[in-house]
Amino acid sequence: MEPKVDTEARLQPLMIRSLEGNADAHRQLLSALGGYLRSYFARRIGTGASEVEDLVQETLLAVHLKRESYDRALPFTPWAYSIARYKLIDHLRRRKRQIHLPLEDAGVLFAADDSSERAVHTDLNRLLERLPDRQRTLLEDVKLQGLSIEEAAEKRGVTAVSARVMLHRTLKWLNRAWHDENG
Amino acid sequence: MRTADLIELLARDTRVTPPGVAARKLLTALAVGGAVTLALVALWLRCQPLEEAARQPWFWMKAGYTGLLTLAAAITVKRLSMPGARPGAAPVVALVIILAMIALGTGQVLVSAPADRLDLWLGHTWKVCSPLILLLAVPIYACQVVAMRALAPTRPGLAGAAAGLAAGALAATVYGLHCPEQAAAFVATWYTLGMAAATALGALAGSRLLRW
Repeated sequence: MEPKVDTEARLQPLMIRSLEGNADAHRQLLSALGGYLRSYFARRIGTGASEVEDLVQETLLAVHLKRESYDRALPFTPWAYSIARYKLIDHLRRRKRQIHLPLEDAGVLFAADDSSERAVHTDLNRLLERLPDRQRTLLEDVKLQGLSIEEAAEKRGVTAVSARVMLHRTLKWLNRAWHDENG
Repeated sequence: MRTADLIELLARDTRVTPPGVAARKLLTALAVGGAVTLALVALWLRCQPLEEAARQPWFWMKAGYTGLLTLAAAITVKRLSMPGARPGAAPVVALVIILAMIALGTGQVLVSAPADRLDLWLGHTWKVCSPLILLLAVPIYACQVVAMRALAPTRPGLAGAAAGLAAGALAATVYGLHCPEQAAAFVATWYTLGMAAATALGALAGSRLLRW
């Protein structure tokens, strides 16, 4: 199943703008992907499976951190599908389940979307508790209070640049810690 | 944390990603690793008299073999580090290069006098050639792994094998500055064996180190 032409035509420009540093485009792209991922994972591991939302979050984090691996000359949907499929295989392997996941066309990821968020199983918050204070408070300011990086930096008396670096490092750490914990 | 919160957080971390950054990182890895290997060859093994060697066809036969193989393997590494990109023709080209070299070496042995065959094949350094190439590949492989971990190889074992071949082939190219062997039969055997060992170990290490 080929992804609908309009899916590619809608998402690829968002990805390009996101790579150019446009936060709005990045947010829209991740939200759209989140819906497709939720539906795809639910179809593959069971609608009621408690890990669906975790897998959605882990994959979104990977999509975010692995953007350098996207080649602008190539279509976007196969890239996103390959990442989703890799994360799904990784998940099944960790659960020691039988893996029979044929390489399908990217369309299977974009066949349906489901925007109703579910409860998470591995709580990211638990991982966040292991962070040093400075990093955790920055994350909480940004996440819970919805501050911009600049506002959060000012509140904590650090420069915006160092707050940016800290946020990025924290996200990378989170990705690794998540993987290790579930591995 | 809700997914919507996570997306908010990730949007705050939107960064400019210039085009071609992946290729640049992989090339830098080859350059840095290659420089370490070059230093090892120049300072430890010593180069042969290069002005003399550079006038000989066998010198370029060796450099051509391993150099082209480096190119084909490096392209494969890049493709395998980018999700959704197909490996394409590069791995096939690598295989054709190796088979052509083996055919050349075999042909050389067949047309030579039976009394000379063993000397052609073993040269003077057959015992050290493959292990040295494998050893010299290590710094290059390590640099590539660092670069590849920032990307997203969806088949870590295969990507590791390609990185091992690229490291082995580049190491063999640099080793050619030292190695005075001249026979195609020698190169087809002992160079190829060293690169094959680097490929196998690269696959093994890659399936662990390149997971993400």
